[in-house]
Amino acid sequence: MTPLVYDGSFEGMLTAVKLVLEKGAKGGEILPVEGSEELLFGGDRVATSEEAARALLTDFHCYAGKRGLRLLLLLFLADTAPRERLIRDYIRVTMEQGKDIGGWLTHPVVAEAVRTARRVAHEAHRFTGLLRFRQLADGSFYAPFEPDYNIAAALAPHFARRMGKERWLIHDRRRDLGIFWDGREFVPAVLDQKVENPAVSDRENFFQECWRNYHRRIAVEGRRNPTLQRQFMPVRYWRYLTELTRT
Amino acid sequence: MFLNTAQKLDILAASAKYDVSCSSSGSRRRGSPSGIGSAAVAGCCHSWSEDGRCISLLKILFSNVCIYDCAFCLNRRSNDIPRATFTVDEVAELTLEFYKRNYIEGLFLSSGIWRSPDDTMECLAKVAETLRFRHRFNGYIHLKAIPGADPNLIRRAGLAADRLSVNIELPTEKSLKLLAPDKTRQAILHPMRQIGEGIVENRAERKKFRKAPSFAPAGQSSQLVIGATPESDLQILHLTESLYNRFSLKRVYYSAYVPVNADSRLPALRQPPALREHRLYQADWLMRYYGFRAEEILTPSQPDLDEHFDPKTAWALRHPASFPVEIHSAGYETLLRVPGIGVTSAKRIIAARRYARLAVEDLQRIGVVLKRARFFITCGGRYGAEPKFNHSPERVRRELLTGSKRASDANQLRLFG
Ligand code: SF4
Repeated sequence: MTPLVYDGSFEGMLTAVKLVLEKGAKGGEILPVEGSEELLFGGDRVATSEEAARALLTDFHCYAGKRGLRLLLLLFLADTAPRERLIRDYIRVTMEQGKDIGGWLTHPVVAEAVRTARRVAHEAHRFTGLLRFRQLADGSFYAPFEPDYNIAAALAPHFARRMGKERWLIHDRRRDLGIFWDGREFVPAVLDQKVENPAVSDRENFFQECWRNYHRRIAVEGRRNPTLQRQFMPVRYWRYLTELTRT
Repeated sequence: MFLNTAQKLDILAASAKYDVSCSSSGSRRRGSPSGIGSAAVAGCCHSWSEDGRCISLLKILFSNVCIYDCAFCLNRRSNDIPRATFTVDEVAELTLEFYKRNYIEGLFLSSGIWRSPDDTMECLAKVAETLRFRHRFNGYIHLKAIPGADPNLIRRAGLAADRLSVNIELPTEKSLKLLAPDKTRQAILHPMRQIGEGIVENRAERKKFRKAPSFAPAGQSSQLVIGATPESDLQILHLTESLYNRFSLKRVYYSAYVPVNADSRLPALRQPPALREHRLYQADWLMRYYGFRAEEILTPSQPDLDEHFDPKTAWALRHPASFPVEIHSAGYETLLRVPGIGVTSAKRIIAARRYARLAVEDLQRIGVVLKRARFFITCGGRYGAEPKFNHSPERVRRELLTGSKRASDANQLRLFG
């Protein structure tokens, strides 16, 4: 079967999955446009159909419930993993079994899907704590980060609850994607020009300095344990952690 | 001497660092559109300090001036150290600004007893009220309740805070007399009882009137110092158990004694008893989540936790008759009693066995760590590993001991040393 190429959207991918499943054959490669340049003979371009996507999700939801839908979304955010294959196979097995397979952890497809989703969820949870905002000169807040997975959209509702009346921007610098909250609703943003160091508010440096000092002060000297610290805060995240960067 | 906010923060963070509670869990507050913040039930770590501890709350003292003279405390009256006292607005501002930058989940405010218990308690209550009612802050607030303070002030504190805690400080009245001569068991238990009753009443009230204001919705906790006095672990666990049962405490925290003062009443320790603290937390966990009672974990003839084995393994080794546990049929509670099987593993086993029979290798595949568990389980009648525990407990004990020695030398000492 010729690989199917879709537009990169969640609906596009589901459309492709539906086509593959209807053919009934095992396998059936699915690729997003951005990853398809390397295909030697090109692939069949799939026209995204919201209707087809919805139909597939409705069927899937009957068996797998809310928990299953959440799993698919998390897998989709795992843009560095073979997510199309995982999602395709997970839906296929669910349909074949005609029931929720979420707990069937000895099944290789379920095991890999659940493990991947868990990693994405774990990173998203981590960043609810590790994301750092700074206040810009115009009073809004700016949070740059470089997550392993495409989790900005998963984080946004959390911060809308937390800082609903502020305006803020979460910036995934690895993907140049952003989500802006204007105090009422989300505005997705593609940030093409690299925002390097936007000017900060008057008192921003003061609070950063306070936080750095606080962070140093609160450690008990007799129990220094950088290994443990690194286990919780991997070094690859340090660049944007105010308390660990020196000015 | 006039100190600015940053200098005060320096002093009052350093003074607060031996307080161990970092938890921000247990409260659910919805962000209101006009206010700032929300508190999630699960709690959240925002950073980790160099000692590897989770930073979730801005943990500071309101003041490190103290009229008391507890032997183990850095801030005691007789120590010559820099002193500082915040203003209510300074604490409120730091909390809000830190919160907006996502440094913290909220505030954990304690204080030395400056002037009097009432004055101190009033300031703590005012900070919470300012944040909650003036700034409509919905993040987490944990306040220390000061023994000896007017019950009305404690009530005010509870109406603004998520959690209140009273430090029990030391395991027995005798030790308290020796090391914290200004405090009595009674003065400590009194506010604990008041808060406990307040929480129970408030729950009932809120069932009837959903709009009734909440009183310490995340419950109360307490803390004690380990290793400064000669009590056994069994004594400590009995105390903890009665705090959970009689005052419905949510958490008890143990703080390995760190020598900060030279004092003839205190033991000379080369290092804080970190492994002991760790074992106590494990035992505490068994009581809170696994349905163990203190007297199952330790006995008068074995009153201290084992250095080499975690408390659950130690319990299992004393109870060969309770094993092996059959993975295919054992209930959740029984699975939890197997060394090495925790809440997550037990849940995964129960989920996975509904789809297919599990072999020992499958357990590994679904993420159950078998290092200890394998001696104590059967899968469809087949033993997880030789030697069979209920046939030769001594050999299993030796096997686990060599295994744990190897692991602990490398890991545990690095992690807890
Ligand atoms: S009351 Fe005792 S423990 Fe508390 S600050 Fe004063 S001296 Fe320290």
